[in-house]
Parts: sequence; C-alpha cells; structure tokens
Amino acid sequence: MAYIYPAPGVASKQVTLSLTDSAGTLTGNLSVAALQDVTVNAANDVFTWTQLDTASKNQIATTATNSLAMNLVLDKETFFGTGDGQYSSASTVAAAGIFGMSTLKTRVSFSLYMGDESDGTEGITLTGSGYITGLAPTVSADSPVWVSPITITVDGDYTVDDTATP
Amino acid sequence: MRQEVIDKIKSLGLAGYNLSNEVPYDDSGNELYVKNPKTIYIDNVQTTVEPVVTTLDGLSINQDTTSVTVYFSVDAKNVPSNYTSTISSLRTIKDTISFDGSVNRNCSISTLYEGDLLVSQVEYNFIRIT
Repeated sequence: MAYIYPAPGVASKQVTLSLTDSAGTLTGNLSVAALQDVTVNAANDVFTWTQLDTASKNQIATTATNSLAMNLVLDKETFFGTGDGQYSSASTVAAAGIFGMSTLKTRVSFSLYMGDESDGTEGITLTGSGYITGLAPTVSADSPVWVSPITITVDGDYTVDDTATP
Repeated sequence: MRQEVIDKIKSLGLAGYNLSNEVPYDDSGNELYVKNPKTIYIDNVQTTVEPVVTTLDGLSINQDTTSVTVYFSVDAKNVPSNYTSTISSLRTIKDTISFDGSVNRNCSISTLYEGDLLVSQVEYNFIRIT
C-alpha cells in the first residue's frame, strides 16, 4: 500500500499541472503555478428505474461527467500570459495564459501529477483534455490577494499513468 | 512606528495627562503606568507573521501584523471628566499613522482594575500582506 503524499514546495514531489493546446495551434506548455487545491471530479450519471416485481429501485451507471476543479493565486504571467494580454496573436500557450486560453476556447490537454507516494516512488499522473472554464478572480479588503477558481471540463476519459515523471 | 505614535499622541494635547517616552516596564512589581497614574506609556512594537495563503507548490503569502499598545491609568473612584474624550482622541490616530501597504487598521480598547486604578489599554493593529 502506498498513499499519495504530495510535498508542497518540493520539486518533482509536489502537485503540478501542465497544460498544452490539444490542437497544437499554440505551442509549448504552461506549468500552472500557485495552485491552492485540486479536486478531481469523476461523477457517473445514474439511470434509475422501477419494476413491479422488485421492492427497490434499480440503477445503472451511465456516462460520467469529468472535471478538474482548482483554486489558484493569480500569477500575472500564468494567468494573463506573457503576451501582455494579446491573446488573439498569441502563438504559445505561455503567451496566452489561462485567461487567454479560456477566452480563445482552446481545447487544452492537461497533465496533473498528483505527488509522490508514501514509499517514495513516483505517483500517479492524470491526463486528459478539455476546456478551461469557471474563472472568477476575486479580491477583497479582508482577503487582499487575487484568487480565482478554475475548472477544466474534461472531454472524454481521464488517462491514469503511474510511469510518467512529473 | 513607536516614536510616531508618541508624536501623534503628543499632538493631541491631552489635558491632564503626561506623556512618557519610557516603555511601561515593571518597576518593583508595578508597571510604570500603575505607579504613575495619568501618564501615558507606549510599549514597544510587536509583530506577528502568519500565512494567509499557501499553495501546493510552496508559495506562502503572509499576513504581517504590527501592533503598538498604549497604557495609562486613572483613579477609578474619581475618573477624570475628560476620560471619555481622551479615549476617543486616542482611537482616532490609528488612521493617521503611516504604514505602507496597510490593508487593515484596527484599534481595540480595553480596561481593567488594579487596586483603585482604572487601567486603559489602547492597542493599534496594522495589517499588511507580504
């Protein structure tokens, strides 16, 4: 048995999220910095029916809705890109940034490294592709640090890989 | 900052009160503000730093709180007629003290009794994100 223990701030042992453009229009990759939390959603829908000859409802799992939900502290270059907000002319993922790829409706391929395992071996990497949505940067006087939720709605299945290196 | 608080209080011109440059140390079992009623003492600056935002890649954004506490005592049996206005005046200076990057300033006032003295504490807190 090996539990997954990400070590915040420790290179190659911490949780990392990397994004690329699935279509390859934008080149390169974007390592998403300053994630506060990550939730991997894999929610199966359930079809329920009843029969006159059974006392309980019958159910069967149907298709799943998959998404990654996170919160991140806004880093200017990660969030708005290195292209000074010129999303339409961006040629790289880094230039577009998270906000740019959301605006451009870019289908992104993600790679989420979940952190090392308790026995010291490398952990699981979840990959897939989807769209960035749910951005809502927020700041207030009581919480004067810009923080935004971010959701990647996954198109299709996750792929689980325990051999990929972070 | 302590000196600025002293200067701000001095500029209030509080009638009937003395203002000391000494810190309110314990002198033979009694703090100076107990030993010398109607004298205002300003303690040394206290600071605390605690994380308000931490991330999975090790980033830590901290809340830096700087505090200054003012002490003075008056006769509890015969409270000076300007006691309330003195407290009100002391409360107002929190917004005039310079503190770069301040996101929150607050002032809390508390009292306690030491024998026949009413001891008042005015604590100023200045918070910034670092």
